[in-house]
Amino acid sequence: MSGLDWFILAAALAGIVAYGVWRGRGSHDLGGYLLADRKMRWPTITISIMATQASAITFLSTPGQAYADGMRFLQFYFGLPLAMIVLAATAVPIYHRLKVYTAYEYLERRFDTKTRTLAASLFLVQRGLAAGLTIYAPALILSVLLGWNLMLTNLALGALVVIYTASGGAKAVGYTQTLQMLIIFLGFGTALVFILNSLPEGISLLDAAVVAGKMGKLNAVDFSFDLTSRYNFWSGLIGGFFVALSYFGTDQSQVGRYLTGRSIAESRTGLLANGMVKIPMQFAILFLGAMVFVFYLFAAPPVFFNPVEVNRMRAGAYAEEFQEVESRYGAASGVRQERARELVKAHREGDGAAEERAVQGLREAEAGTKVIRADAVALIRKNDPAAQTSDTNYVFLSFVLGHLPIGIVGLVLAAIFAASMSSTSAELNALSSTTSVDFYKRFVERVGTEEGAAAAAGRREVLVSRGATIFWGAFAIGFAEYASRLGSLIEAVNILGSLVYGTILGIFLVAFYLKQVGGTAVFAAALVAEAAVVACFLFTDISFLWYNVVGCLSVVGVSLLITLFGRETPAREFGAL
Amino acid sequence: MSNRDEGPPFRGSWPLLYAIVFLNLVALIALFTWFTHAFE
Repeated sequence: MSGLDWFILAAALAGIVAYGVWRGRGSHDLGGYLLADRKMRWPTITISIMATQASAITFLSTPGQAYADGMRFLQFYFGLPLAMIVLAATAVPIYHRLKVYTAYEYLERRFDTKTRTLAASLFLVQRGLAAGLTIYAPALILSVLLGWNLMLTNLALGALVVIYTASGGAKAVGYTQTLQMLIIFLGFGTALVFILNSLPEGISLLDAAVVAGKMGKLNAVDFSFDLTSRYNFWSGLIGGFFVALSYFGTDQSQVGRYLTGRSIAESRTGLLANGMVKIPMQFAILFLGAMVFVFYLFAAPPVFFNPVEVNRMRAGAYAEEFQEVESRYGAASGVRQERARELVKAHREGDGAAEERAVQGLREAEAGTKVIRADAVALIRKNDPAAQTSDTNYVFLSFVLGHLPIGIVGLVLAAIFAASMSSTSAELNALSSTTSVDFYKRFVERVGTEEGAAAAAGRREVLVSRGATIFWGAFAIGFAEYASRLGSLIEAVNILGSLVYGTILGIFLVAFYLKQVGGTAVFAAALVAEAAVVACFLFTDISFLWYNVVGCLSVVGVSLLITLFGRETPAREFGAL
Repeated sequence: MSNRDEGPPFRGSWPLLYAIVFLNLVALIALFTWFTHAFE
């Protein structure tokens, strides 16, 4: 990496931290610190919601997924706009009217303390771990890039986020996210332009799309219904709807973003605008990955995209065997390149039969390279059974470092860091909100009646929230150490979320729509539902997107059964629709 | 912070805005379905 790249990266990181500290000044009570005094306009809310969801994991892993698996991951987001409509119409007015700080606070008003505490606890565990993955992704870049110690890299990156998040709270988070999204769009927009310019001479964008499509990389929509298929139209629309409903409606890292709105209308519009722009944004990121695939069809890719593992192999006990595999892979890639050129030529000439033969030839060549890659992975595993054998997360990074010009590398890395910081800051702010409001204020704090006691309590609450931000930052950094043992990061986060999202969503749906169900019934149902979800994860092949449906419907169904056949105490109607 | 159930920050009503978001989704799915088949 050149001096210019380093300068751009350092300037972006320093600028983000300084801007966050500066914009976050002047919060003297919990409303200012956790909800930015509820003064945000809808464009800021939309950007904040998008920046919170789109972490560095999104930008590192998604292009790699498109490279390996095509664009079908896009369908995961098909349920999101529908969830935005439902939440804008139902949850937003309730949260605003009750003036809650956290989503879980509402559950006590509707049910009881134990239900609020259960939901808040599930959130803290899941989001605390997810925050660790959010820090880990860009830390991985630096450790691979510079050979830095991963632990120290995690620590440095986490500390930067903690500085401005602990200092300025929600204001710092919201305003820095605007700056971060600007850097992200600039970085990835430029990368896409350069990728398209990096295609071999004579290969147009249309040629690239034809080749990618024939190789199954532009499979954005698949209507086949298969419960074990991870991404298809139905799992995306139904499972994705439940995921989005739960994530945006009950996860404090998102609820906290639109609770900063100055009115119901501003919060609603912020959510709905997100529902309109999210899918095109994901399409662009996936398309970028598909184009990286086409680029490597015409320029020999490494046999394995993780340079650390490759270097270990070249210096290890199986160096000769690995060199032989690399040599075979290079030759097979050359054949694949020829087949790709034949396909482009046949397509341009409009010769259907020749095109069909070329497609078949290219697919066979691709299958050949996959077999050799599998040999390489087997050798890596043989050399070290604990080695990372998934290189999906390195595909895009490898391309950026090897093929983008000086300056653009720094800009793309700054975008990846900005994405990581935007998500982590919102997560830490949400973890801090839940810790201070749902635990400290609820169970620990005692406010006196003497003059000035309320103001003193407000200052103390801000102090506790700052302490909680630092604690969760440290927790996330600690968990980040284990993230390297997981496979594709984005899927790990989604699977982790799906283990608890369905249950939490079920609790909230019962709260919003089933007035007759009380706290004890929903609490017992939540425990049953969580057991059912864990059983699905451990003992079935059902795609993880369906866990959300299982968890949610179990809570709703079991709580209704308990209410119908049990002796449940009358439910509180406060805050139900 | 206002708790009045006011209209959207620009022209129109909430049902209209919900319909626009829904139709946008339908249009995107149609577009990406065409995209998938066009390059299949």
